[in-house]
Amino acid sequence: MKSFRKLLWDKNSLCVSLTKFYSTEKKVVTTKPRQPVDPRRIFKVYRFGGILSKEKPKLINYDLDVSKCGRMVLDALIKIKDMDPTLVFRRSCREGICGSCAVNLQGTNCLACITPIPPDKVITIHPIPHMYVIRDLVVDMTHFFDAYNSIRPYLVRLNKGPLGKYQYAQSINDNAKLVGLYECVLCSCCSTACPSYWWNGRRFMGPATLLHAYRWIIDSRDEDTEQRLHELRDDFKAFRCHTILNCTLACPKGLHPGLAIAKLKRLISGLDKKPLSEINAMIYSEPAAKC
Amino acid sequence: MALFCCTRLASSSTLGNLAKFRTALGTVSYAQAASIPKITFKKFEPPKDEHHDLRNERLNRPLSPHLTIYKFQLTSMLSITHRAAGIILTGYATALGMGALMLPNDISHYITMIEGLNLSPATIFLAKAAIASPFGYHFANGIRHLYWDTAKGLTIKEVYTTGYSMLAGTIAITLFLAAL
Repeated sequence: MKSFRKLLWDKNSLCVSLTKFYSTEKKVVTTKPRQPVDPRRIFKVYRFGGILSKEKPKLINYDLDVSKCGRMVLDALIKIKDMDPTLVFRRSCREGICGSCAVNLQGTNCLACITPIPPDKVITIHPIPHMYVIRDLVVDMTHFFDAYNSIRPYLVRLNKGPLGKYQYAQSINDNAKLVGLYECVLCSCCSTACPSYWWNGRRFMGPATLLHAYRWIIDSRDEDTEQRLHELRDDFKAFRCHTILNCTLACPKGLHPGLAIAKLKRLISGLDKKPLSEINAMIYSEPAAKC
Repeated sequence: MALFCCTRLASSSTLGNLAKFRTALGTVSYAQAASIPKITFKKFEPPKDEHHDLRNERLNRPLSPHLTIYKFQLTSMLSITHRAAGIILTGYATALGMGALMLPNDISHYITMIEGLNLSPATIFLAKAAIASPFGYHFANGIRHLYWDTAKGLTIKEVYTTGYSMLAGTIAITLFLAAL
């Protein structure tokens, strides 16, 4: 019995070390708190009643016992909504995959559903910075999604047949290039953390959109690379990035928009060339082949 | 007998009266629904393309706070200091250039003027260090930026490590220039 438990413990430590090895760059250092923090916290939440309320935005204090609600900031917000039903915020999946609940917590952007409540006495929640506020923590994301749509976030083949007819093959190495790029959920934590996007949000694409632009450019199955790079070639769309790197610090999924943009800039300027795909994308879908 | 009592109850009780009143109302609304309701038509107008900022300004929506609330992180602080140092260096270049064009005397005249102030060596060293610091910072951070342009050294750990070593390099360059 004892040896069985020891085996489990050993296996667990092996799993733990393997997980740490393969995890993304954002390594969370778990430190034990010096003393347990009082669960009675004060939440300062940005409130704005909407354009018809004729009020100015303000910070309202809510006292909340965090031992009575779930661990994440979204759980605290839902508990506050129980107290004050007029509080409004976006949320959907509660697991960090939809990107709806982006808020500014203690000065940094995060997804409320996957961020644990920090061990501070006063917790400040603002909407994501430099966006027009519709109501409370809900902001107008129109220009963010317009920029995303403008980079044509879909596969473009030059001689495409009817949609869905062909399978486009990709080697494992080529697929590995997309890791760290396809996981972006468009929460806009990175773009709204970037001061350059604050000042030039209409013409600068922002880190999230540029990450996706890079994702489609280096996809080995995509054939419109030249046109995609040509479209990004002006002073504002990509090159307003000054490598401030607030985006990488803010990404709640642990992705690296800064690195993607650096590589994208090298592709746009012609210093690097997109490598050829390792296998022919049409080898399993030759027009002559039968299904 | 029972039937007589029931009818008496129905005619005078409040519940009975209420029931009569409600059925009267119900018949009225049915009569109105039976007539043809009024329908108005409006020509379809597609939504106008309005610029994001113009639309939101028209709606008087506030902008969510940015500089006032965002956390000061090493990444953004070093970046803005790089820009500020660059602006100061541009100011130096402009001052030197315009001074060379406009001022009546040679630069040696102005150096003699500063020597004439008889400042202590410590003050001179500090003043030189203060003047040289934007150059030292911009030079060291510039090397870091050029390194980033090769798409290397961009992980958060490396950014912080190179950031701190860049600050050390800044102090070294500044002290070297001030000692000249």
